[in-house]
Formats: sequence, structure tokens, C-alpha cells
Amino acid sequence: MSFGGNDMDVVESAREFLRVYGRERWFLYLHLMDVHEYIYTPESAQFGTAYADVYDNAVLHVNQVIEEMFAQLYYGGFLDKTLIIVAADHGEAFGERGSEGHARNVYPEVTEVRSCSASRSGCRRARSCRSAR
Amino acid sequence: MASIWTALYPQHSGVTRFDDVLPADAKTAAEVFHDAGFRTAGIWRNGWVESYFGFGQGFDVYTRPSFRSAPMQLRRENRR
Repeated sequence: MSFGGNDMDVVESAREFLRVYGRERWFLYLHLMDVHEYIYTPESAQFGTAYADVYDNAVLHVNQVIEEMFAQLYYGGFLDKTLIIVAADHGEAFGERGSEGHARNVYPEVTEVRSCSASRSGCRRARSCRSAR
Repeated sequence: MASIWTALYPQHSGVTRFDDVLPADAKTAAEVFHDAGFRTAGIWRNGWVESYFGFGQGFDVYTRPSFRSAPMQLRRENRR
């Protein structure tokens, strides 16, 4: 299944949504995929070329994408009144129990993912949760 | 994703395989926000959450992103 584009395209469309509807009450869901696709840029790469390193480079890259989304919220005047939840819908295996990737089993490396919520008072909590699918 | 959106275990949401469709009577967070008067939008790049699989429930706009341009639905609305 092809996913097309990249996560900055998602942020760009979100920026346009906020420009049009930002003064209303809104709920915005952004489903990013660059980590899933192991996409990163030379600027974001800080790790090597081993399997898990490539994934970590993609995580760093998406940190920058999310930072850009935060910047859009800040400069649009939305950040102080927005609740932000960052979550993942699955983990990733890097050889544990002989498995790589995800959607092949339900061991913790695939099912236990992080979520974080933040509001104007800062990041309130970060915890491990179990993903069912 | 079905469980994240509905707070239901798979056996209750009916979505137990990757290609199962979230039933129309499932209550998603987007529907709750929509019913409360929020403008709701979903922008996604994962085909497994596209509307066909029932994940567009409750969204005014539910679309793949377009590079440096507004989603088609927004552009149509803007022309009114």
C-alpha cells in the first residue's frame, strides 16, 4: 500500500485548515507516516546505518515535523488554548524473538507504545500504553 | 486505530483483522467533537485509516494531504 507524500505535507495541510477554520472550535487529527516508512533527512540524522539506527533517525526527523506543527500553532496564536496528544498506534520489532517490523505478532515491542499529552501548562504526563491494533 | 478511536477492545468494536471495517454505529472521538459543534478534520497518509475502513466517521474533512495546497474539500468550501 502506497502512502504518498511526506509528513511535512500533512503539516502544510493542517496549516491551511487552521488558516480557514482556526477561529472556530476545531478538532484536528494528523496521521504521520515518516517513522513508519523510515524516512529522514540528512539534517535530522544523528545515528548510524544499522536497522534500528535508521528508525531512530526517522524518529528524530518526525520530532522536527512535530516541532514545525507546534510552530504553526504558536505563530497562529493557537498554542495556549490547544490540547495536543501525540500517540503511536504500534511499536516496531528489531530482531526481538526473531521478528522485524510490526503486525506480525502481539509481543510488547510491537504493542507497547508511548503517548503524550500537552497543554499550555506543559507536558502533563507521558506514559506507556498498550495498542490494540 | 479502531480501539484508539472508540475506546473499545477489538472484540467489541468488531475490528479484529487489518481489513475489517469499523461499523457505522461505532462512536468515535471525532463524532463526539463533531456533535459538540467542533469543526473536525483528519489529514492522513496511511491508507489503512481511509474512509473505506470507517475511520472518516465524524470528520467534516477527511483527506490525504496535498503538497502546499489546501485539501480539495477546503478549496471547494472556500469558493462558496
